[in-house]
Amino acid sequence: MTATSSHEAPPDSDARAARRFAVLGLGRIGLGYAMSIAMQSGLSLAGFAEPRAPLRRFAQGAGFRVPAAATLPRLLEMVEADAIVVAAPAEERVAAVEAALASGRAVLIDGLPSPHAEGAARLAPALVRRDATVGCAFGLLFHPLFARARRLIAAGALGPLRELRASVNVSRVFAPDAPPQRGDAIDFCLAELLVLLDAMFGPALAVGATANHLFGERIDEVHARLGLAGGAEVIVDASWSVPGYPHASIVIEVRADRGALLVSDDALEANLEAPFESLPAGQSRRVLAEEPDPVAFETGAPARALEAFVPALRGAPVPDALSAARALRVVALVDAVRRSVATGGAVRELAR
Amino acid sequence: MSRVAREAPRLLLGATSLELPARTTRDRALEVAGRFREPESLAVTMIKALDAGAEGVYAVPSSRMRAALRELRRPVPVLVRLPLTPAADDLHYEHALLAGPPGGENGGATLNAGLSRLGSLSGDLAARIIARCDGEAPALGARAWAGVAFAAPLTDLALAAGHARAFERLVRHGRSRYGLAGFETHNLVTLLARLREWGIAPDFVIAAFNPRGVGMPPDYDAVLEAVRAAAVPVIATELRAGGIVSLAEGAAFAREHGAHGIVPELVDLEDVASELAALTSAAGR
Repeated sequence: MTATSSHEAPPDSDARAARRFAVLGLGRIGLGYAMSIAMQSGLSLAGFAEPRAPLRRFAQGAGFRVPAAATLPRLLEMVEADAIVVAAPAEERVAAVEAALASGRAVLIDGLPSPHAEGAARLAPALVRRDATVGCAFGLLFHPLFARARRLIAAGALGPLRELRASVNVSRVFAPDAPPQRGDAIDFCLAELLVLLDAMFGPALAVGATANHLFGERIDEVHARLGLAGGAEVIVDASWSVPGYPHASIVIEVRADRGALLVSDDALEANLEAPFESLPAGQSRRVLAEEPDPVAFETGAPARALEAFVPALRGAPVPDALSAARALRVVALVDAVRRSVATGGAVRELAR
Repeated sequence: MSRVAREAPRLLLGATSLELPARTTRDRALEVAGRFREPESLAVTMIKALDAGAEGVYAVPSSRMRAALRELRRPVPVLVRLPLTPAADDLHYEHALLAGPPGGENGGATLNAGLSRLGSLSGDLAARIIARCDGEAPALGARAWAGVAFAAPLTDLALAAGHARAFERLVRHGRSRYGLAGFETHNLVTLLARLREWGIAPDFVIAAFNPRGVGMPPDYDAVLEAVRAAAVPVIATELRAGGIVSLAEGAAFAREHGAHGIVPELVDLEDVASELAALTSAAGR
């Protein structure tokens, strides 16, 4: 049986049949993907897999008239699906990704495929198989200002990089409504910044990190130095315990031989020797609202990740922004950060 | 408690940017949040806004707004955005409506929170939203309602799921409690199309509408056409397009292209009294 959402079918029914998505994990993010799938032309929602009955009931009470099951294998006995979105919580992520990969369908994973290196090692062979259609989605890689900064650096517009700094700050330990129940600053805000840094500057080859525990046993602040190929170094600071940041503030500063760049989640300031795209030579500044950011139906990061992933279902390569290989590298990097913190900042080498 | 509005407002002072993400620079958001840290500052500003022609304030049920309203003898009509969708919702795996009502400084009284939990046992989305709203709104302490706008994350969830009955139910409930009921959305074109298809007519919808197409999916032209043809009054927000046009330009654009009302946010305003008075005057009121 194939159930569909209540929205109008696209004219080409074969196209619709080729793009049926199941969503594994019905938390906030999973529902965001369900919304995007339901509203994107040519896609249909096949069903939901989620072990917690209240979450299944919530999705169906929200109006999604599709089958739901406690496990993915059970769901796939009930419905046809061509692709699976994995949006399971961290502690269930490895098993969820394994189940999705074992189904032989295309798989889009929201976030890192595993919260730890052991899980990533288990998943790696299937994740990077040449014939697998697998993507890992991170909202920061679809942020228009960071996307422009990535293009600028990839094109060599700044020349050789000299000084690199990055920070992420967000207030969550103080959140009056809901102090964190799980995870720490590494999980909550550093990991995704590391994905962005990998995408901008390439893989880290070594890391040394120290951490502060301000409000308990969990890590609240991290200071790290990432060694890159060619000898460049990125100094990274992450905190989820700085007051005044209800929304994450991410800032990346680059000083290079042929210019400088300061890019954040709300503006990009460049000093370039030569024009690049719509940025003129010399000093320039663009705010977020000036960057094109088209989307068919706004649900945030899920809408953009899904739009980037869908062409891969038709044989196009999975875009670099969804690279599973990068996600695996960052799992290893996060693991190295934790090991370095545990040993007082000792530098950890990473496999090339 | 009075319900003062009979038709959708033409001009409101927007105070949601004190609590919710606003399309402005972080420095500007912090500056404005700092300016209104004291409830007296916000209270005085609201009165100046009413004197300058605003029909009320568009606000969330935050402790800051509650404290400001308490300072005033004069009732300030509030178009309340419900339910509260705090940034820290991202700490939870579950959807905010399942994670329990907000507590702490932004939460409602214990009784209201209890009612909200009871309502949330129902599986239907509208019942959950209503339970949450009824738990949160009384804690604001407003003495006059200009209406209710159901928050975009919930509107857009029901919209994507095609849940027409939820929209019907929310409109009925909103009108009975707050006088006017409308929907905030990030997807105005789709919302207007579905409302027309379903034959549902809320008192207003509220969404980004500006001359640069910022926050206007799927694109500028589609939103322009949808607003021009809208059967439901559209109240325009994000008038300054993230700060890249002036408030006067954004407001003029919205009015000229079919918006029924406008909501300049605190982050868009330097001098609330004079700028709102100018907008009132420009509208010929």
